[in-house]
Amino acid sequence: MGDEKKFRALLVSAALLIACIFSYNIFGEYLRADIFEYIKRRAYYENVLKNKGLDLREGMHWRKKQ
Amino acid sequence: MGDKVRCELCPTECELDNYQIGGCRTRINKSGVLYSLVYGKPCSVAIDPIEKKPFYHFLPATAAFSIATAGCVLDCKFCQNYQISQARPEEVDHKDLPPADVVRQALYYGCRSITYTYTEPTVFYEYMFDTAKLARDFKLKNTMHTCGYINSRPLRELAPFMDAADVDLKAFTEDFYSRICGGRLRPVLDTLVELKKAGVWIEITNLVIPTLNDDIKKISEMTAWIVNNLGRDVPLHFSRFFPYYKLKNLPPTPPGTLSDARKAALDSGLRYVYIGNLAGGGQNTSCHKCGRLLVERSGFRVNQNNIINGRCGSCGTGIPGVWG
Ligand code: SF4
Repeated sequence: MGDEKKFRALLVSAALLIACIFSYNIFGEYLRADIFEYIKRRAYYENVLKNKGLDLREGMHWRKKQ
Repeated sequence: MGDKVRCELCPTECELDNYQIGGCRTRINKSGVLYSLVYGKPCSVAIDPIEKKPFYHFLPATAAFSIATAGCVLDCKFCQNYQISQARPEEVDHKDLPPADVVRQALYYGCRSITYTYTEPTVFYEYMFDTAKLARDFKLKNTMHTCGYINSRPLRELAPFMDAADVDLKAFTEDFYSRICGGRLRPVLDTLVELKKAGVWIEITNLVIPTLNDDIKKISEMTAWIVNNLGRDVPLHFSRFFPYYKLKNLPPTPPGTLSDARKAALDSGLRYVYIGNLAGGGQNTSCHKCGRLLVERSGFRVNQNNIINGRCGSCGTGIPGVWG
């Protein structure tokens, strides 16, 4: 790989890295909160609800949100 | 983590993320499907006199097989059953009692009806729906004691299997519903009208709470609404409040307030107005035409019943209700 190609690759990687850092700073909080909440809810279901003998029965009158 | 669902059972219309539980504590979104956590899992099962619901114009002196699961769609600060209504299903002991077993036991114990009660039956809608449908095949009646906080589509689907409903009309202001119950008044009024249209026998209970909903002007407005929208024959039960749950700071309802409320309701044109939770008068049914005593009650006991084939035993006037 010639020097010019190496330099271009370095530039692209640096730009990507900067974009990642920016978006993490902007959206990271939401993303982390979302993931942690999800993990907490799922753990509650797996560890508590499932062990209480509360079988799930599909509900009536609901719909999927797009 | 997508898979969001919207529950359309009650007017709260919760939007639930994956593995999130609804405000009523009894419905969960699991991977984009909404499930009930309480189907066939009642935490309360009992045989009660129908008068306890209270129903005064529906099969008097009969036994009602009564069931409830944990959970509620509202959060009333005066709830008399908050230990189960405000509990999560996993926090209370429950029995395994599928619809077929409810019907079997109701028949075995000689009950004439199954009542969905104690907590708000909307939270166990699927369980109630299947049980009510099955009960019909065995000539059992279905009744519910409800806060009326349910959307009209599920209500319309349920109504053909429901014979009677005692609806708590907790107050006649939106402010009371939002501050004290965490809900809205309008959907409850819509439920009452919907039930009436569907031919379900209705009785209404109003718990009179000092300083919060005991304004006689407001009570008169409420009773006028009942007369205009549901008719004069709907029995209305004014119930005495006792300090409880989050309203321990208020005194019990003075008996005089209950008598005033009853008078206001009779003045509005209602024919059958009762007082509950109070020893003494206001429990008996008299003929609206000739005034003769028809049903004499003490507590939940019926001492005498002079209604013959749905008519006054004295003057023969038809008495509104379901009597046989
Ligand atoms: S029934 Fe429960 S989950 Fe459904 S909208 Fe009402 S509170 Fe929410």
